[in-house]
Amino acid sequence: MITPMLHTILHPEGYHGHQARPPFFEGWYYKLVDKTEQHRYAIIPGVSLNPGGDGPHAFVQVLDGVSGRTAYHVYPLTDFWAADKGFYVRIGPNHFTAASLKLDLPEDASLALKGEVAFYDMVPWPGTPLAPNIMSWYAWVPRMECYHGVVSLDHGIHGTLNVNGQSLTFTEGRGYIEKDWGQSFPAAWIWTQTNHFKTPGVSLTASVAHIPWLGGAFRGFIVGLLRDGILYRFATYTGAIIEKLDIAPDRVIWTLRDRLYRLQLTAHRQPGADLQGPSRAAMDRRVPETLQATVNVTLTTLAGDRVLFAETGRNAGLEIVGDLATLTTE
Amino acid sequence: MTKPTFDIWQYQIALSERLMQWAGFNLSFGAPLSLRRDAFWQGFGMQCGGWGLINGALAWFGKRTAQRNAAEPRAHTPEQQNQERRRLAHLLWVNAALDVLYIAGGLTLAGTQRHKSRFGQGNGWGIAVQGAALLLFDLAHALPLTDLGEN
Repeated sequence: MITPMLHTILHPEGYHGHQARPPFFEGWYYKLVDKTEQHRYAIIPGVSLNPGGDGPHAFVQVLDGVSGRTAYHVYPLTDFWAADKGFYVRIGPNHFTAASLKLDLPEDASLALKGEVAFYDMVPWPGTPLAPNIMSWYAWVPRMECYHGVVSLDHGIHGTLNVNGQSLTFTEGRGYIEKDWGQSFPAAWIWTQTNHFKTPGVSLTASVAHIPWLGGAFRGFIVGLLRDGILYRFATYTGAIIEKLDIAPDRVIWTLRDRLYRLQLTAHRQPGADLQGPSRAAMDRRVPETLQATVNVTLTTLAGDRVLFAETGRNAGLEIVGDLATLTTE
Repeated sequence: MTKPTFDIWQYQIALSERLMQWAGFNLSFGAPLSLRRDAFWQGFGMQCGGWGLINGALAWFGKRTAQRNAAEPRAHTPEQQNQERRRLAHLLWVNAALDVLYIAGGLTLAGTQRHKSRFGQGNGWGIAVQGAALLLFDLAHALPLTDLGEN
């Protein structure tokens, strides 16, 4: 009992639900963008043990980031299998690992994706035993509402997917993988991610959420900016602070600061589509997401106001969900 | 698989602030202890206070150095970051070796003073406890740097 639990904390990419009881969900988020940036998909395999809605079930959710079409393919729980150790998940005929995904979604449904893509030159979030992944030591706190993990901040893609009969090559495209698990998505959050900058190898992942904590709640945030193989972290657990978080109908302006740097993010909102996310009862949360946003990123030193990085990320995932007043007021 | 590294200046700031917190705890804990009538606790408290002052000064210096270096034009190249990472890891490993000596020295002092001086015994235990805490601190910060440095 203890050893598998330790293993899942230290290796968050794998499945955490072998011993779990409801409410519990787990989902992996694969973002795929082809070389031309004309085709963008989010593929989300997962499982929900919650009794409401479709009841306990596995799923493969797909978002076509260009057309805005979505599909939610339901599979019985008996079709779900996950390795005890490591990241290997099978949902019906669909296979998911950190290094590849193989899809064979039903032909009678919209967004019937088939094919296999593999990933290379993956960039994981650097972990230590005390801080195994993006949540740092919070990963060791039991019974949090929602845990978050990054499997790969940036990687290359090789392979082809057949989408409703049309063959799309993703070779030389870029990808990103993250995941969530726990009881429910937060009451409110903003999330954005992009690894399409003018400079190759740059990746940004940023989220701020309403976090229940010891009977109360706080506004928790985690931001990672990867450039030149160096990861700049701004998070609640690093002692960084939010200087400004303005949410307007057309954009989100978010400024963070720590003892050394200031990071300014301006995410430009774009039309998207509704995904399904977990509540404690069921997969019944409406999660509007776009893969067409852009994010202006500026990193400066506090001493001397020297600009270390200033570029715009394209094909950005952007979610703005829930009671946003809990995020903008602290 | 390409494992990125944390920004070394942010890492150094975090390390310095944790050391500062440990120093603050020792000062606030050690000062009242050193005023107690029992000679053992006087000795133990003096060690806490003394190490707190030294660690506080080191933390302040480390933080100032990181702040100054982070503003340097070349401080954000992978080469400069790796060089600083190796330097910091080396420093922490040397300190960890010294911590073992502090523990051994403290325990030896406590042992030799056992039937002679409660003040001396308290000092010995104080040194050993500080050495043990710093050993954990140095190892916890050196290991991730060493791991990252190899990738």
